[in-house]
Amino acid sequence: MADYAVGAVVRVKDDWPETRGPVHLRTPHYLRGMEGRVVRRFGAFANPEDLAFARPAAQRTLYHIAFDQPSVWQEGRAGDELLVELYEHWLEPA
Amino acid sequence: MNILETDGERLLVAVRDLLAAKGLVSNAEIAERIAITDAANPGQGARMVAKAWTDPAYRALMLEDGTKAAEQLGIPMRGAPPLGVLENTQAIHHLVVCTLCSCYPRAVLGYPPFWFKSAAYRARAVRDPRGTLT
Repeated sequence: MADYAVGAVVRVKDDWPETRGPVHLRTPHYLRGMEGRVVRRFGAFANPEDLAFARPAAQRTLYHIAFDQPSVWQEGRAGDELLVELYEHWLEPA
Repeated sequence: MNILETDGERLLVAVRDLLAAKGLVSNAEIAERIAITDAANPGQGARMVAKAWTDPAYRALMLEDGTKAAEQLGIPMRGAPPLGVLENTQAIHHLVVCTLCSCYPRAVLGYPPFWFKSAAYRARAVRDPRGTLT
């Protein structure tokens, strides 16, 4: 899995695991397919998508990703940002 | 019997005794956890912020490692997830929302206000933060 530096532009995967069966997801649906910018790395945490089902959970890097608010919602003031915690396996290079 | 209609105090005693009988958690551990939970309130967060205003080293620690900063003021953080701290400035105001569930720094601030978990706040704060605040 790619390792993203602060400042890198990334895209949230346009993936919908909830359509394929029971899941626990921490990736908001309104960000799927959206481009954002890496603001900080929090380090690695056990993947909650597996923890929720008591499965062995791999360590995944958690990032703070900033998104342009008006681009996501088609409303809001220019310059406003959404800052969201996302795991590495949901990100791809943009 | 409907669990929702059960007397809360009796239910607590029954569950606590069951956990103790199974050797999962002792009554003392539960009492300690209840005391910590009861002590958590927004005043603890205010105390951290006020110290950061007057103590540059503490401010730096708080932005670097919120958990350590809380512990330094005697707030027990054992078992809590890492505490992140974001700073408001003249130009930036942060609005915190958990759109997926109800994540909240309970170890520091106690139980969230009822509206923090409401669907209306979670949906609106992320779409229209300025409108939500005014």
